[in-house]
Amino acid sequence: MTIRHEPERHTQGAGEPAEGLTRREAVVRLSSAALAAAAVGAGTLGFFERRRASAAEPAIRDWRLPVQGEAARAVAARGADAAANVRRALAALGGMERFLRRGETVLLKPNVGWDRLPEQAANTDPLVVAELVRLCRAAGAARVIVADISCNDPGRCFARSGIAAAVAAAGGEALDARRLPMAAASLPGAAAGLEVIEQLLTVDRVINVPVAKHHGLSRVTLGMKNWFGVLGRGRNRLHQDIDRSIAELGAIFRPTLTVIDATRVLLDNGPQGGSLDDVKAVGAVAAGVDPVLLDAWGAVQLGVKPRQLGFLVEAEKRGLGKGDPGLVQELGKA
Amino acid sequence: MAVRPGPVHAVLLLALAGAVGLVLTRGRRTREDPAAVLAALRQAQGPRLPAAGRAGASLLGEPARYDRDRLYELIDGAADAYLARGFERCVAATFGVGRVEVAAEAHRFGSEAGARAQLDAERPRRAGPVAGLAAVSDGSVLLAVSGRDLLKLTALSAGPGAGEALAVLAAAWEEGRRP
Repeated sequence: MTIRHEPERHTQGAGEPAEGLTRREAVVRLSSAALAAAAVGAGTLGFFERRRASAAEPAIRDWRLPVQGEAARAVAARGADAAANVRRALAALGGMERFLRRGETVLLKPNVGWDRLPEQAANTDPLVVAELVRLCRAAGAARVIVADISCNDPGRCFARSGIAAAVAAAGGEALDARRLPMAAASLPGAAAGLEVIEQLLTVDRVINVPVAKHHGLSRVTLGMKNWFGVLGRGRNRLHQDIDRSIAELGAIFRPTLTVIDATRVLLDNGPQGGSLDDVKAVGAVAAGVDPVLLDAWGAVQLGVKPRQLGFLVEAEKRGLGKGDPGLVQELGKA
Repeated sequence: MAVRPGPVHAVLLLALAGAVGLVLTRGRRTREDPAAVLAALRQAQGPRLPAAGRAGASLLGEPARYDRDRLYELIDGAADAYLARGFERCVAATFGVGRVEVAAEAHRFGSEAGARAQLDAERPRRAGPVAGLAAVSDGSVLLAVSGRDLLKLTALSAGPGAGEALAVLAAAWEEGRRP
């Protein structure tokens, strides 16, 4: 049995037909209007709440491993051979095997920001990066990738710095910074809303490998400042309150290991440098698990007292590490 | 329906006449002074890099331009000092001079004093004057100021010939700036 509904006319008055609007049409139109209003409302809410929505983005992992027993938190090795300094420092920390497990993927984050030669000390020394790649591979890492978001043309930076060739020769993989995939991540503070290098969200371990050098704004750039190089477009806004931003980055990115390259240090006109006059050969590498302590050691290599650095004071206040360079175990010259 | 002229039309007509008068006056003034036109055009062009052909050099890639908002993309944390000294805009490129590659940046400041202050701040400790040029160099970096523009050349190849390559490019830059 079927029921046939006759169109029912709305009337404006007794016996007076409305302008052709049936009840069904009215229902359809009202529903459409309600749907449209809901869509606009949801869109508006989404737009204004996008910052909160980013909380649902993947968080940055903590890549640290627990420090066992009386193991040193940071050690420094000195000598003319940069690769040997890396090996000695890592050996004193218990070997690379202590920091990664067989089959893991490791990301190295050197400073490759500038189209400069190794002698100009604006980028991490390629010998330091290559030795870390070798040690990671020897410790059983399945894959060692090297990434940085350069300031100058990335192709030129990776080539001129010698890092692309050194990494390839050591069995690592320098990611093509011209086509680096970026991903949204849940970042608090000044970095909120910025994208990060996508691989950071998937790798097992991360080793931060900055070069120690002068910086026009923060006085020095070391490990915690080096995290600027994993952030995408818009990271310049972090310069507004540089000390706080650096400490914030130190709280967000917790690397498995930090290795400070002081093979050559740039004493002036940083971060890009250029003049060989501004470069001092220090011949040292420090490695460890306390990023604040290592930044404090790096500052000393640049002739700067750690207490004079706002970001170090702030990082120590936040409990990210100890800012006393005297706690770094010096291994002396090879 | 016919519209009768009213006070509104008179006001509009007056405004139009004023605009025409302004354009004519400015146009005549510019036409009467070709040197001023040339100077204005040069000013509008912004800072210029050395002419590669004049230096016997080759341009490696396209020059990139930066303004106050984008300077950080070129020099990151060094940008603040430039901005504080009145940086307006710059153009940067890499040149090949023989076997030497050179990074070149030409920065325009708001005043010559600003450009000179930046040169003084960046002057390498052992930099000396370059023969025949208003420039200083330590063989790895060369800095020169002309008017409101600062030229910064950085050798990207180690070894002999770097200092000469910088001087050749700086000479071409100075020559290109002469009227």
